[in-house]
Amino acid sequence: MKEYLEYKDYKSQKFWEIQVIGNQFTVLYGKIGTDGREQVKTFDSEEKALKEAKKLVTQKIDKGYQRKLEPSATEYKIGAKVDASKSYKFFQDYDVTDGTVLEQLASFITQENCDKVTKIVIGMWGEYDSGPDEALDFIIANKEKFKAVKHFYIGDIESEENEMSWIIQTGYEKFLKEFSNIEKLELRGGNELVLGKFNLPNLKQLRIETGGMSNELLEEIIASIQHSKNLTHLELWLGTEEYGGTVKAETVEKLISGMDLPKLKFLGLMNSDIQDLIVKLFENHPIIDKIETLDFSMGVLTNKGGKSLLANDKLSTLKSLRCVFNFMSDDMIEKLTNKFKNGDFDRSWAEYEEEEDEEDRYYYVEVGE
Amino acid sequence: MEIIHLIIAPKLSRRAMFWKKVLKQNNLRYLHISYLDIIQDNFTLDSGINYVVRLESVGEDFETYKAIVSFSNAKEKINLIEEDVGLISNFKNWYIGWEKLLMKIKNMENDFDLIFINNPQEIAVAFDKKLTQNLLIANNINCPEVLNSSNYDELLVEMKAKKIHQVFIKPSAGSSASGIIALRNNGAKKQIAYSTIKKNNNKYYNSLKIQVYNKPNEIKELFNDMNTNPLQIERWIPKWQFNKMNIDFRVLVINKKVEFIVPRGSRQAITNLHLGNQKLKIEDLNLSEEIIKKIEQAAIKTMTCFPGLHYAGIDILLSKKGKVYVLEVNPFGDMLLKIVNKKQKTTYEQELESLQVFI
Repeated sequence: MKEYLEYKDYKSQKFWEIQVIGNQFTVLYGKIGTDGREQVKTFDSEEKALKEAKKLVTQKIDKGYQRKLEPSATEYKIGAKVDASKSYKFFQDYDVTDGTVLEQLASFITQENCDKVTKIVIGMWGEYDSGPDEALDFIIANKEKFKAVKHFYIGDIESEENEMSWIIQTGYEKFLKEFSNIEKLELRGGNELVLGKFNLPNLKQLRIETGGMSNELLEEIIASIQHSKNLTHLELWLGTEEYGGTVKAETVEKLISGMDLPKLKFLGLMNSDIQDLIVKLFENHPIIDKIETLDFSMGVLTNKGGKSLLANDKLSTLKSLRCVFNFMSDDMIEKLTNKFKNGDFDRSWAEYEEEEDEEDRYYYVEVGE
Repeated sequence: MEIIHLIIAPKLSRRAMFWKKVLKQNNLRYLHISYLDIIQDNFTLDSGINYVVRLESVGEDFETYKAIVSFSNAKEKINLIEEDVGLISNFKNWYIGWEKLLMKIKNMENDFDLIFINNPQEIAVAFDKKLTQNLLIANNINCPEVLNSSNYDELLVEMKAKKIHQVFIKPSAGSSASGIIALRNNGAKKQIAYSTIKKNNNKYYNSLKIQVYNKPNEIKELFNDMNTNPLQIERWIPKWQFNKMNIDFRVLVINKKVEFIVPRGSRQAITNLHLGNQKLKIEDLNLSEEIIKKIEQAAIKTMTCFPGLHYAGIDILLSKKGKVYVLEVNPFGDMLLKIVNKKQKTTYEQELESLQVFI
């Protein structure tokens, strides 16, 4: 087991990492950007080490630490030697002085050890009106050089570079056939995104961040995700109608009711303009018994959704219930916080304005633009 | 000759208070006169005394603002009877008045013995973003590319032709992120703008919350209304990120030395600290020494273009690939509260110490 957490506020930027090996765990902690300090603790058994480690993780999360999936990837520079233990990111600057994504990839595959790298990130690929097709085609054409890759992140484009809702994606049918052994897939951007039929038996994590997800895409996921029996983390940002989001509540219902994924621990259905409806679907739903974490963050979650949460006793059996960034009232947040010790109802930068007329209020999802 | 510190600032200026505090701690004599006093010739100075003059920001004081706009002798009548908090300034007339006032202060040299910590003439240049950028570019300092369009439709065409997707539009004489628009263009129908400008009752206000505009007509109108003042339009270069925050740097140079570097982190495109963004610590960012050195060198080189400024806050952008660009020169950009340098001095303490070159 390994967990990496970060804490950020006005005063401090800290990380905390724990790794359990056998009956021992190592904690590494300190300021972000430093190597940190290390602490090792030994237990009578592996179970005890794991139990204690999990307890510490929960305590840290209670204190405001957040799970970070992984440290960020190294930017690949043309001509640079490849370190097999690192993950690499390919992206182009606005003035392309460091080469296009294709030029960077072409240099990468000539380096020793490139075929041992396990994580590849593709960022900004140039024009606003094109997708990552060239990069994906290149990777497919040189698949031997990418044979060790277990984790692809396509579309790591930051808010300074483009609107998330403007990112053009593409079809992944062929790509996922060629790389059917991957364990993690992260995609950002919903326009023109097609997964088609996929069979990814080793997939552990699927994250799709969009400002607007199409109902068809969700249907594709429902049809194929059952092959991924090893999936532990499923995270879908559904977005808003304004940016092409067409996901219907009944399709989400179909997803959660038909899901047979024995290892699934984390389910995130978030950043949605129908967040209240989605929350309601979970009212005493059996899926809650099978997973550990539910994440409803970043969407338009209002007091209506808050009421469904309050009525849903099953939710207290979860390890963690995340509703960060919401539009609920102080009163509702207090009730939820009292009821769900496992919950996080931080309103973040969303604004609840008491005095406005309920009907006139304009809500927004956290990542729409 | 006797030395007295002369502070020219609005009567209630916080910045003036910080400077006075440091002068007091060092048992130094000072005199505070306001910009209003100068406009109205309502002050007395003695010949036979050496005045070390520090000018402070005129901001946050409506009477001063009003007096400066009137001092411009602008022909158009501006209705300035009551303060309308947050209303966006008439940058054009304000700047004409401000420049005139700075020259009046500069000319006081003819009658008295004045030593300017920051020379009023160079303050005037730094307050004009266009002049500043021209000066920097002429000295081979890296700045974001400038666009020359004079109206909105032309701008969209220019952006397309130059393959520039996103720009910052700033009043050439503005400060504190007032009147700023960050514009993205994605084809004929898709534009989005982030701005500190908020429209209310057909008037424009500075908003502490970034406003989002996504209707092409709305953006065009906003641009046109701002375009009554000289504008500086430049490429919006994606900022380097740390912890999902967009970072830029306020570098305070005092007497040709970099004394403070304050990284500012923001989730938004506009990073000014009063917009709820975060001050960070440079040592937490895990930047290479090479990059920190590049940032410092750019700031120092910038200051060589302003030999009459003893101190200034230089805003520096770091691109995602580690390139450094100078964005702005702020002659009053030294109010960095609760921050000390390596010698444990605040900005004001360090400025006083560095004054040895004058006295």
